[in-house]
Amino acid sequence: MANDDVSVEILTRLPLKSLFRFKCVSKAWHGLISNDDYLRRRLPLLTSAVFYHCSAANREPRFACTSNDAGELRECGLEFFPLHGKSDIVDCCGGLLLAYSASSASFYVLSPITKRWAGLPPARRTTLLSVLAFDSYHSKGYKVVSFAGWLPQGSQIEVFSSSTGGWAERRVHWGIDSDSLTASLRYFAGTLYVLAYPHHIVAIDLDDDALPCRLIDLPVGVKPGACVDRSGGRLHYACEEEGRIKVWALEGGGGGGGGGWALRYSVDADAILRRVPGNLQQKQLHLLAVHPEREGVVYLRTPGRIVAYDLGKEELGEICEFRKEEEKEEKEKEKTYLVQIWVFPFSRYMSDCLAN
Amino acid sequence: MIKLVSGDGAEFEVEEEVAFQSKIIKDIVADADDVIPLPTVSSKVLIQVIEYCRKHAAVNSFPLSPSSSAAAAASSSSSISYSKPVSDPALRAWDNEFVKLNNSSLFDIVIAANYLDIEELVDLVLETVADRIKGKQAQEIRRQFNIENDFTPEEEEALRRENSWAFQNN
Repeated sequence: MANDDVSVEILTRLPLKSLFRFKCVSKAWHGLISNDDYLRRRLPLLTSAVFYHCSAANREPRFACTSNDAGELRECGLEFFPLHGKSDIVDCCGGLLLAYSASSASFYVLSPITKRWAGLPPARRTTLLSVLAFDSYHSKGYKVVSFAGWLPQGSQIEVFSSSTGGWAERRVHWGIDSDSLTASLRYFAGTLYVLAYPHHIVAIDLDDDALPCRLIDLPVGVKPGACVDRSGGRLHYACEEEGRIKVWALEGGGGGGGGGWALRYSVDADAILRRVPGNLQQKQLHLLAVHPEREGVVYLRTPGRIVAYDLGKEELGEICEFRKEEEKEEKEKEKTYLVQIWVFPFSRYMSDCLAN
Repeated sequence: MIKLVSGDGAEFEVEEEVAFQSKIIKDIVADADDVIPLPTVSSKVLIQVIEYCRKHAAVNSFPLSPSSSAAAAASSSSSISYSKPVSDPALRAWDNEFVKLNNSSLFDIVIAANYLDIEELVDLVLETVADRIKGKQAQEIRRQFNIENDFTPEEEEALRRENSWAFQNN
């Protein structure tokens, strides 16, 4: 362990705010903090959650985020965004939120960590499903994909790109019935992945202006709660099957036939449950994500917690508690509903996006 | 007894259970002799590390209660996990006194502890330093760690602007 390694180990224990502030300590510190490869591998994934706090008077979206400090979800107020009470949060990706205001028929992109926001120009068509595509490791810019009209085997879509500042209308064709698509979507490295029944991943290349789609066959049928993710630069598919948590990795390009998938992990869910705090049953364990850098680490959601679990070493990793956020308001006889929860990696670009 | 030899040639005789707080020493002793040279560790640092090991060996020799052993297992599970505080309050208080040292002494200790593979001590020191600096301003960090500001005022201002959210309170 050299002095630089000690510094990095200390940095990984700091809240995000301190981390970004310490960029201006010196050029050496700036280099350490700006080196994504260095920190990304060591930092736990950040967790963010959207929840609603309902009382008789209001129904306002709230947002909470860990800042790698003590592993606890903290509410980040959305008050910096003037329409926070008059819009719905429709998606979250890489730490950014996508909000939609029905009254103005407009999209807004928010960065709750840096408290910045941007309004998008109006799209031409009414949206049926909207997806935010942001992977700061891949690009500083973000895209918003609005599905505006389903076709039997495809969709009319509009894509907003932050680099052009405008919407473009396209038609995509995925080669299977639109009815077979699930609501399980994941964006990374320029491609939007959608799980589809019975055993497919639809991969839409958003970096290519023509939005070409390709179908990737899965090694097993799509299960509810399954997730598609990227880890170590490769596509991963994780699901629960016959009481086991299984993770496959796609070797090579994966052109078709399903032959490219290799089963990397298959771990008894009961063995995981024994190590996770709280006396849980299998149905209370849900797969959330695969760690983008750390081999074999998955994130699992359990009631009130997100836990990292190393399937290779069969060890419990960091734990993020969110029960406190869920319960906080209940004492005041008001209900809080957790809508969605995401995990995403640290990135030095967190400050850059939406900067102006 | 095991003999530890510091980089500056000082010899320290310690009991096995004290030395075995270090996993590396345990491994070395298993297949070699009882005199262990530690060329990269100064006697000043070694004295402090032995003091820590002696205290922890004494406490750890009592059987752990199930809850505290589970907490220990959770804390050692991953190098980046949030370290759980030592469960014994008296030992935690002792640890808090132990780390009342300046940053450069703590750096020396953590480098030695890492070399000797004493995981709890590594975690303790890193947590301590992180706690000291979180929430601080860059200027205080430079002072604490004796770092020279090699940015021009313009460069520093640009960085502050770019990361302005991190400089706001709340």
